[in-house]
Amino acid sequence: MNDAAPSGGDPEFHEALTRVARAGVDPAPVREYAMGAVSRRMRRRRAAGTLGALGVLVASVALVGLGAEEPVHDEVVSPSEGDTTTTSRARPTTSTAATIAAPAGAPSVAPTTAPTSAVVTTNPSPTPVAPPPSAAARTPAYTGPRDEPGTPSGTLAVPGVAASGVLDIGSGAVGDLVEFRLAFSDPDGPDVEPFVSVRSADSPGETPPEPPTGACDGGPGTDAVLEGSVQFTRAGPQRVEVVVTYCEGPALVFPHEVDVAQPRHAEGPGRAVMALLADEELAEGGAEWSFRADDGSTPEPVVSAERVVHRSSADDGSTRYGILLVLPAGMSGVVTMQPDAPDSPGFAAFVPAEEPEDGSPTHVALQPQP
Amino acid sequence: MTDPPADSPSGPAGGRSARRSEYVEALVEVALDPAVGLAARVFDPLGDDPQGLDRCRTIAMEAITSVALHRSGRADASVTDDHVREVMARVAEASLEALIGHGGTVAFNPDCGLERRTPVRFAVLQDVTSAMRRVDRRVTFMVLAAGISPKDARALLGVDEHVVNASLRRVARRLEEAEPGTLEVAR
Repeated sequence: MNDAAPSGGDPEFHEALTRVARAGVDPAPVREYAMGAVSRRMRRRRAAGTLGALGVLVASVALVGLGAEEPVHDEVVSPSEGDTTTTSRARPTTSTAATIAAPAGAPSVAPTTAPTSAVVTTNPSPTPVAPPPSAAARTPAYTGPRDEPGTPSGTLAVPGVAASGVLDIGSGAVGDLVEFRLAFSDPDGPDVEPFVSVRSADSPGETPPEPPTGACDGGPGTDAVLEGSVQFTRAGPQRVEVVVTYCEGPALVFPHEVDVAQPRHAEGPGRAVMALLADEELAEGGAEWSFRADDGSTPEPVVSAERVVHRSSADDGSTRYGILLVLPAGMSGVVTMQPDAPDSPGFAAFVPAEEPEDGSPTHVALQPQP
Repeated sequence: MTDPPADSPSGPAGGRSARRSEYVEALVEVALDPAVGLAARVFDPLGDDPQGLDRCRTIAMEAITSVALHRSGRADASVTDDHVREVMARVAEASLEALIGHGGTVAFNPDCGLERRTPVRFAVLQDVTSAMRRVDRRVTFMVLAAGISPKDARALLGVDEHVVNASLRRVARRLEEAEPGTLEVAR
């Protein structure tokens, strides 16, 4: 039994486990299979961008200047594998629009591996977690130009990091899944899973990168292409850094700047609402969403087709899990969520008409309904 | 595998990688035997069917892997009872699905409050419950297909007694609708 194994717990449960157990199955192949699957997780998500089957790890960008009563940092956690999502409406992924070219003289990189994507990120955290020292030391100041939505261009400047590459990142509105594609020289080789985060360079907050899974035994210099998508939660111009982290070696930082458009709703201008739950399972599971405005209308909330769960740290230190919704602008009312989970109650929250002036979403805490 | 140890100079990422490996190992260690045992109650009840046991191992392996994928990425990943319950629940669901075309008949646990008037085939049980709620399917497999007592099913799934009883009542109703005269509710 290792440190990760449970101890104590419910005796009735453990007695039941003992009664049902059958010994004699070799655990080695099972362990190997599970480890391999965990190791392949990022790769599968990378492939999902092109195969459209295995799920995409989605990333988020910080909300700058978030109100004090709101969670102080949001981190995107992945959609759970194997689950299905029922959303009120699917929103297509926004196509790539803006491009940052590699610096002059930087080696051009051809895509040779499946694209990946990943996680994270950011608002100022009450207890900021420092990035790996190498990353912190080498994170460059942003030097690239600002892009207008849909306007390509920019030059990567990553001083001090022995890396170069091409970053394409689309533009879109709040709530969209904006694709990004990063081609670079992989320092660890194709068998090493990198951890990719998209974070706001405007925010000092850091969320710790998840470690890559699997072995760190690849050779350097392999060309790699990472693909993923990011869901912006705040409208307006934002400096963004795509950070690639490995088990060892410096993090690779690719800066960019995007101008995120106001959210759109089928019935006109939209507004972003972050609906928060305390239960991660429920947040990651499928659900039916609805909205009843105070004027009696029932415009349908727009939920991203890919389930994106934002992890938020509240002022009291608790963690909450948020789903970004797009509702018609200027409306107040009650948003409800009915999880697919069996025997789960419905949840609801009042959404005020007022919206944060800085373009960040209105955070509402969903409460269970009797 | 060359994952650095938790205290590796490679830093926190390496440590987390090692913890993730530990998590998977711990989950396999704790959950494999019960997971295989649950499925084996239907697919290899006498312990003499290598193919059936292989199927059980596959079901257990998939369930453990699913939970590992879902859980091991957490910063505080350690195996809890809830994680093992999740494995058991997934095994129950997968096993129920695997009953398609199964030629055997169910062996209700005597404590389940249902009595058969006529044999209930596994395939019918699977068909009747396929569109039912997840908790119903889990309870169905554990109590009606695998013959586990409602009390143990309750513990294994981490649900209240009334949840199990309600599931059994719903399933009994569906079975009665599908094959009238099949069941008798004993309590």
